[in-house]
Formats: sequence, C-alpha cells, structure tokens
Amino acid sequence: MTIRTRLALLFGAAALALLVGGGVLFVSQLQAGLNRSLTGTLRTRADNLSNVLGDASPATGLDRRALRGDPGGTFAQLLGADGHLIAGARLLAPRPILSRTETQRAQRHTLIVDRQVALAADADRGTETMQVLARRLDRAGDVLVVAVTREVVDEAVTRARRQFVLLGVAVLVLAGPGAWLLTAAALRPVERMRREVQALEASDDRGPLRVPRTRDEIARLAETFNVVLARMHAAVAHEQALVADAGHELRTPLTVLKGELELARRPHRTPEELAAAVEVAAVETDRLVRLTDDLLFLSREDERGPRPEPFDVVGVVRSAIDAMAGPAQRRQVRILLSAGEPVTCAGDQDGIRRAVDNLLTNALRHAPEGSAVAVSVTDDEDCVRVTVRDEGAGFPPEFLPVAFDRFTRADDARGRGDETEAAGAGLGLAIVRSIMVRHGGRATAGNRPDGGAEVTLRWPCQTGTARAGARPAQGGGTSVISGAGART
Amino acid sequence: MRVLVVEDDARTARMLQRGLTEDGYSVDVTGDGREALWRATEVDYDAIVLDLMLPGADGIEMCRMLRAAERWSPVLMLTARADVDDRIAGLDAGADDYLAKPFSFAELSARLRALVRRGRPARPVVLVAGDLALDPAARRATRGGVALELSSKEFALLEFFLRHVDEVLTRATIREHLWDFAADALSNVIDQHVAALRRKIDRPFGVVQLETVRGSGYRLRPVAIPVAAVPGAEAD
Repeated sequence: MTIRTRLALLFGAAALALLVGGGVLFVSQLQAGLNRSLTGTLRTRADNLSNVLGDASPATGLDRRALRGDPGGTFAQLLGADGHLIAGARLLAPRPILSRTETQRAQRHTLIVDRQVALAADADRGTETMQVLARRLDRAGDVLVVAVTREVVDEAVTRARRQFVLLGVAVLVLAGPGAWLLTAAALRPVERMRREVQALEASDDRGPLRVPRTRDEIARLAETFNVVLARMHAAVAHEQALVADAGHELRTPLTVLKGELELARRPHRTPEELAAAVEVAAVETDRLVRLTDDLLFLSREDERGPRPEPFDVVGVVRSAIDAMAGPAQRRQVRILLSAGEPVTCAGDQDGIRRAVDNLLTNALRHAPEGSAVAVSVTDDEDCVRVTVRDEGAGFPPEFLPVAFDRFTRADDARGRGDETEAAGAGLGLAIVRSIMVRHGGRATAGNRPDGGAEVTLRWPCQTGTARAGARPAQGGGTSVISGAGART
Repeated sequence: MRVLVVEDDARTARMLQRGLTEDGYSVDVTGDGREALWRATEVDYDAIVLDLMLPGADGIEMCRMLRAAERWSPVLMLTARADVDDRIAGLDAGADDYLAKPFSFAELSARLRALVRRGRPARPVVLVAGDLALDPAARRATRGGVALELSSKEFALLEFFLRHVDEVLTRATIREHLWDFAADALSNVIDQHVAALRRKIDRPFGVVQLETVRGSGYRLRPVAIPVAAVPGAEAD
C-alpha cells in the first residue's frame, strides 16, 4: 500500500472516529438535558396539582376540573390506590396510564417512565410517546400521574443524530480524498526525485538531482542524495582510473615480453641470442609479478581493517634495513640507523614493514655510489616518526605534488624512462600513503636544503602503548647497521 | 629504409629497435617528443613508429605538428590504452595507422611494409587553397578565418575541389565521386550545388576562386582573385 493510500485511509478513519465519538456524546448530552427539562416541567405541574388537590380525598369536583386541563402540554390523571382512574385530562383516553403494579410502586416513591399514552377518541392521533411522572398524592394512597409529550424532544434528538450522520458522510467524502490530494502534493517532489534517480541509474548521467527550492526535509533529502551520489561517482571514477592505469601499466611489460618471445622464435637464433631473450623475458616477468603484487596489495588495502598489535617499530625498521644489505652492498651504499630505545606501538606490523621497505628501495635506487642513506626513528609525545634520507638528486619539484599518486614516477618527470631494470611501476609511494592513511597518519616527501630526498612517515601511536618519558632518539645511539662502504 | 621509433619505455624501444634492425631497417630511437619532432623534420624517414604516451610532447600533438610542417612520413602509432577516442584523435591528427599494445611484432612489421608501400604523398590534415581552408575531421570550412556555413553536400563538394586544386573537374567526374548511381545524369543538380557553393564561398567575399570552365566543367583556382580583376566574370 502506498504512503498516499495509507495516509488517506488513516486520516479518513481518524476523522470519522472523532466525529462519531463527538456525535454520540453530543446527542446523549442533548437527550439527557431535554429529558431533565421535561422532568422539570412534570414536577412543576405535579407540584401545582398537589397544591390544588391538597391532602383532601376523595377529590372534589373542583379538583377534577384542575385535572382536566392541559397547561403547557402536560396532562394529569389521578389514580386510586388500587390503580383505577379517579379523574384525568380531557384529551387523554379515560383509562389509567399506569398499570396497577406501577401504581403501587409509585405509592412508595416517585416513578418516572416513558410510555405510549392513548389519547381521547376526539384527539386526532391515537397514541403519543410521553414522559410520565407518578407519585403518591395523599395518605389514602391516591397516585397523581402527570405526563408530557416527548414528541418535540425526540424529534430534536433525531434531527441532531441525522445531521451528525450527514456531517460524517461529508467528512468522509472530503477528508479521505483531501488527505489523498495533500499527500500527493507533499510527495510529488519525492516521486520526481525517485524518477530522476531511476533515470540516473538507467543512463550514465552523473546528476546532480534538482534540489527543490523549498527549505524542507525533501530539499535536505535531495542535498544528501547529491552528496552521496558525488561520493559514489568519485569512487567509481577513481576505480576506473585505477583500472585504466593498471591496464596501461600491464600492457608495457606484456608488449616487451610478447615482442621478445616473437623475435626469439625467428629461425637461426644462436644460443646466446636465445639466452638474452630469456633474460629479458625473465626481467619483464618479474616486473609483471611486482606490478600485480602491488596492485593486489593496493586493492586489498582499501578493504582491510586495521588489526592493531603492539610491536617494536625500531626492530621492524632494523630488520628492513638488514634485508636491504645485499642490494646496498652491490650499490656501495651505507644505510645508517639513528634510533634509541625500542618504540612499542600498536599497528599493522607487516604494513609498516612494507612501507619502510618501499622507502628504502627508492632511496637505494637514487643514492649515488659511496653515499649514505640515513634512517631515523623518533618517538614523539603520541606519534612515531620514521624518516629516510638519501644523498641523491632529490625529487624533481614538479613531481612532489603527485609523489604519492598511483603510477607516477620521478623518472617520468625527469623526462626519460630510466634504463635500470629496477625501475618501478610508480606504486611504491602510493602503497606507503595507503598504509599511513590506514594507520591514521601521513607520509610527506621533500628535498633537503643540502640536496637529497627525504620521506617521512608519521602516524599516531595507540594510547597506552607509547611509553611515558620516551625521549627523541635522534642523535642518540647512531649505529651502522649495514655498510658495504664501511667494510671495504 | 629508415625508421624513427618514438617510444619512452626503454625496454619496448630496445625490443623494437632490435626487431626492426633484423628486418633490415635503419632504426633511430628517441623517447622524447620534442627530439622526435626535430629529428623527423631533419630526416625524411620512410616511416615513424610513434607511442602516443610521451613525455615532453603529446604524441598526438607531435603528429599534428609534423603534418603542419609538411612532413609526410607515414606514422604508425602505438596506443597502450584501449581507448577508441585516443585512436580517433591520433588518426585525425595525421597518423596513418595504429596498433594497440601489446601487439604482435609480425603485424607491426607487416603494417610498416604496407605504409612504406603507399609512399609519402602530401596528405594534409587540413586542406588549403589560398585563404580557403577545410578540416574534414572537425567538419569546418573557413575563408580567411571566417567560418563558412555549408550543407553536407556543399562541404563534400568543396572538399573534392580542394583535393583537386587547379584541375578542371567535369560534371561527370563530380557526379561519379559525389553522387550515387541513383542520381539523374541529365539533371543540372551539380550546377545548382556548385552555384550554391559559390554563393557561400566566393560572393560574400567579393572574389572568384571556383570558376566555370566553359564546355568542360569547374575548376578551383589555387588562390582567389578579386571580382574586379576578372573580365566579364561569372554570368551565372
């Protein structure tokens, strides 16, 4: 059932219930009031007659005359103790209004009943509904009965009831459809919005929805919708860009691989040529594996929730440096670690290790032979800072703003793809940023005034795990962890 | 045969150089768009293999500049993105063929042979005669920079004339190239269209360039002449 139908039905039903309740109350009050007024009239007549008739019994002729009239539409009868008619109003049929038992009851206490009363033969109507009041008149047990017609009262009540029924029908006819129309008017912007969203879904249109000029809930709903839509489109655009970039990046090694294999298949290849082709193919395959690995890591990074476990950051950085000893030795580069006591911090140990690995790989790639890469771990008040510096050429200035974007390389900004096989796909720093974001921290890249690149990771340490009184470790306890230069 | 390979990825470039050298080409390699443009204007290459994603100058822009400099070496572009828009932009900028990465080297080789076979005739992206210019890709025609409002038939007619500047084109030739078999050979529909075209490209500028060659057909002069300089000009 639509909101419209529900509201219309509900509104109609509520209006009807109110009207019926009010009507019943009104009519019953009206009836009670009129009844009281009739009773008042009867009492007055009875009192008057009592005064006239006095205590005398049996009644005199004069008394009978007093009974015969019908002042104010009231009629009277005087019944004997055994219930026979002593005297009565001229217009009433000459028989007692009350039965004998009723007469006896009236002798004990005043009786008020409604009764069909027969009229005298000369009256134009047979019977009439009347309110009857009877009470004992004297010691002899005679009962005075007075009656007044209910006709006017009953008619008034019936008319009131009929009017209420008519009113009810009118309310039903107006309220239901009225609520229906009002709801329709109120819901029209919602329906329009629904149709717009449907159209958006069907086409590739990106909205936004039209926001109604009214400053109501519906305008706010449209605004909220637009915010959500914009965010969704941004996410989709981001994903599409990633897929397009990934496609492009995958095509390059595949092109080389395909071309090399095809060339190797040509006739009359020497074993040396074939070996060279296999070497190139192996390098390209490595490149593809690395790229796929990084892409998978990045796509998983978006959905993986942080599962913080306490670990020693200095230890992780040290083992990362140890793992780089081989490449560092080949490139004649020393890696210096400057750190103090262990810095315990809750976080994703594998993620942090991966970020440090990426920074070290970049630094080693750009560090000149015989230079040093300086790594420092600092424990501030509530955050950890890991800095990696090299003595290379530094980042090209135009690369800095996009350093952490996917598929950007400093080499591209320099204008020429580098010839080294270690050239990355431009995902290393993107992965670093994504890991930092997951830890609620950030990564910054810059050039030092004296040359060389510097990348800093900074993320908040989970409270309770950072040790109180930890001093900045920089400058203290410098140690040479790995150093081909130092050894040779 | 001398080929220029413009490719910024060093390994792809090496592979191309090796393969093409084996095929008997002399191969020059560059990874920079500006350098490529300079080389292509200095040396009349038999073919150019051009990667569209280039640092320095965009491959498409390079292609356009090359054609603008009236270098007609056939260009085979390599696209990494499977994006149709890129290919359209490249072809409209003056490239002659394209291959999407990763490609088969044998196919690259075959396409290069086909391109070289076609030779290097002038094939400008924008057709020009005097101050009259027409860009088929943008569907835009101008005289002296002023845009001309042409119907599609008039546009086709002007393009045909611009491709045969200073040649007398008979009505039969025009009909053969611009009308299908259903066209009535006896009607003067061609004369009407030429007249309409002339009303748009010549009259408003007070010049005569599309002239009637009595008894033969029509000819588009290489440059426009002011009406005053033509004795008894244009009775129609």
